[in-house]
Amino acid sequence: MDILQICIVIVVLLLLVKPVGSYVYHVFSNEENRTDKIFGPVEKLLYQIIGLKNRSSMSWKKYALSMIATNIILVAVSYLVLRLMGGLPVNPNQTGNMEASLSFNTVISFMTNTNLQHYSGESGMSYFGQMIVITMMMFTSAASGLVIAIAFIRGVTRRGGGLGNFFEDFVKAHTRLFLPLALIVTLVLVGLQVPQTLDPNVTVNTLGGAVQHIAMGPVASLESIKHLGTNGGGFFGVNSAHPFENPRPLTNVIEILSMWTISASLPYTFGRFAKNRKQGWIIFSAMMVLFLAFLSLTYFSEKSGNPLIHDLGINSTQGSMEGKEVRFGVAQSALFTTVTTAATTGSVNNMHDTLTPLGGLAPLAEMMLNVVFGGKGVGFVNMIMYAILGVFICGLMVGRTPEFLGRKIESREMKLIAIAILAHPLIILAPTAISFMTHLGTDALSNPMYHGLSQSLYEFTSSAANNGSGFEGLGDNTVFWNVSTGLVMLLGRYVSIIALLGVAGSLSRKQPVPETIGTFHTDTKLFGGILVGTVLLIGALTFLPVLVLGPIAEYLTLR
Amino acid sequence: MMDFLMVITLAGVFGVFLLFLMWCGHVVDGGGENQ
Repeated sequence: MDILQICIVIVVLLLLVKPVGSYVYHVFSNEENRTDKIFGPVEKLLYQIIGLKNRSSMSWKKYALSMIATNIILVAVSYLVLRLMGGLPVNPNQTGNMEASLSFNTVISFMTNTNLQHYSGESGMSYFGQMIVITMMMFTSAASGLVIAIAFIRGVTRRGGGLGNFFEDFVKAHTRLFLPLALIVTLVLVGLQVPQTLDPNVTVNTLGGAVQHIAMGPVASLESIKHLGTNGGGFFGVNSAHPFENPRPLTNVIEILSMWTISASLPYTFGRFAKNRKQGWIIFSAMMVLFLAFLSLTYFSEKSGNPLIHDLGINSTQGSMEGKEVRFGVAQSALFTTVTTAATTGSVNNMHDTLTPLGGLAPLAEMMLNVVFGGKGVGFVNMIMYAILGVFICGLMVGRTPEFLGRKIESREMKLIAIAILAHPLIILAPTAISFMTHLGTDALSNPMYHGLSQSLYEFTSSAANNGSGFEGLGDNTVFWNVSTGLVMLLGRYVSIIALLGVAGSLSRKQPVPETIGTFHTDTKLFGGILVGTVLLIGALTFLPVLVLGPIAEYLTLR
Repeated sequence: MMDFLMVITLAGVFGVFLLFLMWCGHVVDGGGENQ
């Protein structure tokens, strides 16, 4: 029954990939299509409001600058709102202003699509903050990531003509994709009893005679975009484990598919742009192979349970249920965990800190690789980065200038790709090491053994991958953790985006190389295998030592 | 004071990103390559 549940969700995803991938292609191909009649008038009005008269295509530098400038303005406005929240309207629960370092962490977290929450939504955020800062940034950060992927795809599949117009793409991502989908998912969730209200918290007298305040609010509207935009976090501190966010197995499946579908469809969109759908399916297959490997590791580790508990004579036939919701069980918890860290969403429906050692290793490894479907747009771009690295390595082995999609890969592209690949482990491993050199870091750990290392490692890995989930035994709402993870989130987001847009800009200028008998084709199963091998090889070389010190050592102590 | 530190930190990091973008532009234009 467990395996059947998982298989049904994967089959539904496979059925959605082609239509959603085609729709995304039509939205951004700038060719006339049927949706123009529906969304065109609204977009024209928005272009007039923002003063966008010239929608000409931009160079990669102008595209990157436009994205960064837009993000800076959103960060500034959001920081002000959080610092002044106590005096702003729509605050029936009288929530106070957010502290400065926590505001710093929160605005970075939501602008970088990480949604790491060092605050608890029930007590630390007013309804105004939830709607104007949190929900707004969930739309804009998702749109920012998606349009970067689209610009990158244009760069590697077209010749000349720039990467498109950032502002036009940004508006279209909202009007044609995220807003309509969020509206539909919100209404479905409301129909399945997820609250959507501006009423204050409900105060009740319990059977034991105590007074309890039950948190409410505009939950469904946040819940929909937090998954559609692979944002993560949640209205409540425990995210989708809370019965108001995720009341039943059906909502769990809807939330899994919401965060997975667009990310999984981008390889097909890429195939449409490249006029080679087989190329798209090869990229998708490589991602799915990695995903299924990590899902198997999580599911079977959790299903096996903790041998020490079993030795105590306690019935553990259900598997390791610590930190899990009974209404979801091991299968739907393992699937949610694997998808939320693959698509780097980061919302949780079970507590990752209580996963078994190998069950916790899988989400950690997915974020370290950062290519298993990946966050909105950026995960796909990272996978193409590894594809280019793969053809480069193959070119070195046969003594031939490497080519990708008919363009020569030269030193300038490899310099930028090397920076993007090496930045990720650097901003994970260095801060993790620093956190153990000061009591500011070690004071936050709730476990003195190997799991303590995993807690710190997970926090920085989640920040660097712009995921946002955590091993929440870590006491992370301190200035040290707020600032350090804030900086890691920024570096994890923008360094790779700038470098890879540079690669796209460089490739778009190049003359296509005529295909010969010696051309290495990248739309074959052989290349799919090379791609998976390249990802695993780089990942193992950079992260295996620290994984041995953390979850693997913890696993061995249980045997 | 804390607000000032946070804003300065944010401005500094985004400043570094702009410098990095300029350096990437230099690389894409062929800067630093052996002729």
